[in-house]
Amino acid sequence: MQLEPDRASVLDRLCARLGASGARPRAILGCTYPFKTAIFAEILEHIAKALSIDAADLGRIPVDVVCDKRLYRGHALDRRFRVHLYPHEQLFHPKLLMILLENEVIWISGSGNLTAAGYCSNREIALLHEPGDLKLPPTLRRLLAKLPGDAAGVIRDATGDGPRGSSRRGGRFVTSLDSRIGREFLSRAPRGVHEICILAPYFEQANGDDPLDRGWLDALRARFPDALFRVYLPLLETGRRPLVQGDRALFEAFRDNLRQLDSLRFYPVRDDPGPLHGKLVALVYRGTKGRRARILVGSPNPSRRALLLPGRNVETAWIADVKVSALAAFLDGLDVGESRPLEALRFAPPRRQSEIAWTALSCAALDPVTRTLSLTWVDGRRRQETDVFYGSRRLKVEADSCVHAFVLDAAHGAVMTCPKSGVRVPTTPKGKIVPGYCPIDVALADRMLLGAVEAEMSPEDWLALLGSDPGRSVGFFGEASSRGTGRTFQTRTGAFGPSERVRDLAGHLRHTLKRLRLEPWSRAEREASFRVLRGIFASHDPASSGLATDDRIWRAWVRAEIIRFAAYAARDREVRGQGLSGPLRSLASELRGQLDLRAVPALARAQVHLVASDLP
Amino acid sequence: MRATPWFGRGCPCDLSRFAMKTGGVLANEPAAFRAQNRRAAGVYRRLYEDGAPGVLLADEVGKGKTYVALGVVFALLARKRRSRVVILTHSGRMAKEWEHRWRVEMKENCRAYGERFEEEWAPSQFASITELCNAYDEDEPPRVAIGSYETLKKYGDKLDEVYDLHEILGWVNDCFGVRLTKQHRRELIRSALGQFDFRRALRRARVSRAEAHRLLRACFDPDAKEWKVKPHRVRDFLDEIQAERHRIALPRQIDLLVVDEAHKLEGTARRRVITLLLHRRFRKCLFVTATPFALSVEQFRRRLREFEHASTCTQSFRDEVISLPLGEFADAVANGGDYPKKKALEGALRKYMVRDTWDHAKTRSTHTWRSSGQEDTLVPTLILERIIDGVLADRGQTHIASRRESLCSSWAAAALSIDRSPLPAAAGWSDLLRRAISAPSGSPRPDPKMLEAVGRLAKLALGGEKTVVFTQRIATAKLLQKLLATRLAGMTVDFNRRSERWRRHVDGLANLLGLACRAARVLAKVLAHAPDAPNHWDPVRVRAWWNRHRPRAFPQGEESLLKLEPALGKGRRLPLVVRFDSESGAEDAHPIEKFNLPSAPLVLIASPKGQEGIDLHRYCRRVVLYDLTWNPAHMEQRIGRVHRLGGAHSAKKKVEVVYCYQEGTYEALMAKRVQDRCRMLRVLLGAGQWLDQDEEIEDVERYRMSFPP
Repeated sequence: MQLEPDRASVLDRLCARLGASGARPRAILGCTYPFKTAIFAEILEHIAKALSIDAADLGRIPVDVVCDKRLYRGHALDRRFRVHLYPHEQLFHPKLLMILLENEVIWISGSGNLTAAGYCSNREIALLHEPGDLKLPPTLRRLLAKLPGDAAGVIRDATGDGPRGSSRRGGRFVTSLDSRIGREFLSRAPRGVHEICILAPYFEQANGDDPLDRGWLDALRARFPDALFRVYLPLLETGRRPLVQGDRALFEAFRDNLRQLDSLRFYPVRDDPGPLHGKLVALVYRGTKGRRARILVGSPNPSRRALLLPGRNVETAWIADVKVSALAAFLDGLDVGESRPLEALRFAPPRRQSEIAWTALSCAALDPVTRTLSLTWVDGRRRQETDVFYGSRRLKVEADSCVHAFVLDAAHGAVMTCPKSGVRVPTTPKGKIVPGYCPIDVALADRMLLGAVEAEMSPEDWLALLGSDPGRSVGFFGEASSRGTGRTFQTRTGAFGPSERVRDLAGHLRHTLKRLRLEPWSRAEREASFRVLRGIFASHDPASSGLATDDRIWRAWVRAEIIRFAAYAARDREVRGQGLSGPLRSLASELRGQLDLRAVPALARAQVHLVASDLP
Repeated sequence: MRATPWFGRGCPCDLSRFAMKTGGVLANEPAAFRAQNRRAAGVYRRLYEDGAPGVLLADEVGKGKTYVALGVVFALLARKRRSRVVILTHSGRMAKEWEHRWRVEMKENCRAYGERFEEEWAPSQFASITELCNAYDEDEPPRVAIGSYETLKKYGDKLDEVYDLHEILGWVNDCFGVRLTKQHRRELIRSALGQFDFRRALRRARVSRAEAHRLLRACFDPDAKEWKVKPHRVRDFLDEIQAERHRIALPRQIDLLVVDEAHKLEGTARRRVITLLLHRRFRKCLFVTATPFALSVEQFRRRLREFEHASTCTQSFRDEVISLPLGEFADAVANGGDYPKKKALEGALRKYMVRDTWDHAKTRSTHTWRSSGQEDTLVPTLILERIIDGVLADRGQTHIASRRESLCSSWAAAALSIDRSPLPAAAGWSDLLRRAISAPSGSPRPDPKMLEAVGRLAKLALGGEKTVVFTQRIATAKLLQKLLATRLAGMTVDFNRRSERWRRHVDGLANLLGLACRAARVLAKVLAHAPDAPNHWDPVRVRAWWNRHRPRAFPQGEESLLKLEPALGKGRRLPLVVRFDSESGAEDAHPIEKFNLPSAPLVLIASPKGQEGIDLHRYCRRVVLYDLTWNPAHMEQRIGRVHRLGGAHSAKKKVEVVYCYQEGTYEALMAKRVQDRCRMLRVLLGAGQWLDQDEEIEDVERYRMSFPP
């Protein structure tokens, strides 16, 4: 739902805009309170279709979702995106979808979560921002700096500070990280406010400390004591006395403090075409330009916690001036009928969140090369009290907080944490304790390896694991890539291209040598790297069936290059300084012993032997 | 608008007259030759009616730019009494060529003025700026002086530079209040100009205080008592001083300066000939080049800005050229977008440029000879690619374009290049390459590209077709020649037999065609090596052959044959394959003359030396770009050797341009890039005629040109 006459779905408008731009995406970021895999995967499909690219190609760019840990319940593994939990204690409540293109950034903010309800059924208020360049409000860029994952960093680095709001819309984009949104809204409120419209699904903090949170209403009343309050609430049942979602006691207490009892009017909002979930506060005033409305739309519910208390919620909102006619048109579109007094309504309290998740982990990072899952605990004590499950299997967590030989299953993209039996779970009036979840994080660079869990890795996949200098390489969409040279070889898609192949392999080996020289290597890392070299050697078997002669020779060449590399690196002075000389020499002789070139034509065989044995 | 009455049929100068008189194939394209008249008129009008300080004559290669320029020279000389023209060519050989065209062909084109060509307008050649100064110092300076800017650019003398710098360092105390010892001065001179024997007496030089102060302030650090800039910057200043000295020595103004192959002015030393040496010593200039820019459109602007050195240049011209939105236009073309100010740009450019292009779609076809690595050639290919990767990864001195060109030329050239200057970035791989490409005899084996090219060239030669092959490296050319000669050994034997046979018919030929015995002997040799000549003595067929080839190959009949006698030599067979490079002179001093005959040689392997200033189009319509350079202008120049007016191509038999590379290699990437650049060059310079055809049209319309979409 927009404050504009164009009622097309915001996602449709976004896709139309992306299709018109014709640009390639560089990063995608979603922020949501609860998260559902299926709808996000569907959104990505739409975006890929609009951009005329294969949805699978989105796996090559950073696509991240950041959600709140309290409502996260795991997700099915999807190679196209990664899920992160907001790492701080605040309730993470922003709803954003940002797409970084080559020359601009397009984003949606508003009240819709990345759930089926948020994008398909609810009545939400969403704003599509199209600045046309790489500028973002500074407040939003500061929020990005706090978010985990690559996408937020890429978007932040690619963009610069622009106006505080959308240049097309005017107004300001605010986050609760910079200031208390409610305070900021009220401190700059116009004079002469005579009417206040409040649209919200709840007036109580769903998971709040104070179930009767009328702090925000009281703040509005204190500031504008003579104003008429129009409150729009979700209609649950029609009838002579309609049933609305809300708390009668809260509104009675609020009304009692008003100067005039009839200054509070209610408007039940029907759930057709969907339940109300949008949030809006509008101050109608008479200014020099006539009647206008100062509005606040975004993620915060009208509660003290969301709008007035510092450091409790992470919220984002847009504050702007609009014409009263635009506001009226929007409210008329809700089809609410006549206003009603408090007495003419029945109230049903909103369903409260009564579950508390056992969130013991802040991060679970998987290294696909070593197949090691590294766990980061929220609190050291939780580690003693927690069992970690993956699927139905309980994981054996070593003393170093790692799970070794971890096998990833495509159906599960998160680990589950439960209190150990016998652990005394603190009882709380908030609700019962349920298992917590932590998404498994695989670095963007290692995503290609995730294919190994589904199918056999190709020789090119193995090569990509060596990595290459990000400064020199260009990825699929033009972004710097830490894997390979950004080129990918589809086996036998065209003519044999020695130049690209040789340069790609040389780039990988150069990068590996650089790493060997510079990085301090632990035994595990060394083993992992050597395993990759062995994997490349093994995967490039020239005797594999179905290969053309040039591919057989190429595979033999790769084997010879790996041997040559290991032998050459063993002699490198700086590599010797890392204590890797002996292991590399052993590796070279081990691989040389396995260099079986019987499948290679005789003349080429002699030449490849020469490459493998003749060192400078 | 006033029409210029100098050019066209019935006018004092008709640039098509010589071609029509020569007849043969030249006469088949009368319209193209007559178009030269219109272009000459266009240039003349811009210079002398519209007041342009200079004009760029940018016809595509082979369109007769030289004649158009000479037509303008003629018009100026005939119109303005005592006017003086200097023609600068890029080499001494081309200076002779211009002189010949002026003396012979222009004399014919301007028949009514024939006597003046012999006397008053007789060209004089100069070999240095001093010679030119001396000639201009006389009472009757030459009306047409021809010389090479390659020789002019050597106006500086190292000895003079040492004297100047020594003198300038004497001003250090005056400039900074710092004293330099004699030893210190000598060290500074050595660090800027290289070694010098100071035992010889140093002459006093004429350097003004202002000049000395300018150099010292820009280059000298008085605290450290050393140069604060790189040595070449000091040399630049000295160069400027010397150029100024010589410029002042040129006593008279030049009315028209014609610069051939003006794209070569891109080199700093060559550009100084215009910007320093001849600065404000010429009234107007005419730059002749088919490729005013190659790698960047800013080169185009630089060419136009060189007109600023003409004494008739105005501030408005400078402002106009500086503000030309060439970069924006290039970006729009590169992005495939529409450029809204296109018309304005076209109009602005048309004021200073005249251009005619070939219709490539109708006259030229592009082919590719692709090869691929096989069992025993794939591993050396991979090693060579590994070496190129090393060169690319090394950001030092080895990362230069010509190095990559050498490595892509052939295995033989790559091995030689690595031998001559080893590549630290490819340590270990160089030896491997040498061992992998060595034949049992120790010499390099032919690479797949060469094998493919030899096969194709031999097939074409056996079919009697001529081909020009351009290579970058002599090692490649030599191996190619050797392999082709081996492959065509059978044909050589056949020609040898025919030589014996035709030698017996020299008298018959002389009688049949009315030639002298010496001329008949030359003709017999040509006949023996001509693929389309009759195998046996058959007077009717011999006469038919003579009639067919005489207009193109022997336009002056017996005289032409006798001129060929020294080139063909006595008793020697004509080779099937010849080379034209800096080392080929020892083997064969006249490869071009031989190649332009209707007989063997059938393949000419030319180095970059042959890409400018020679005509190979008489019997050849195929050019093989065996090696590639990054510069599209060079590629166009190479193609232009056979794609010329009066060439062997026709509507049915187009000029064939062949790119040759091994598939999937770095050279394939080069080929793609250079082809893209050639396309860009054409799009930016425009296709079609940049010349006002209709003299009645409005001024705005007058300068409109058509860029392709």
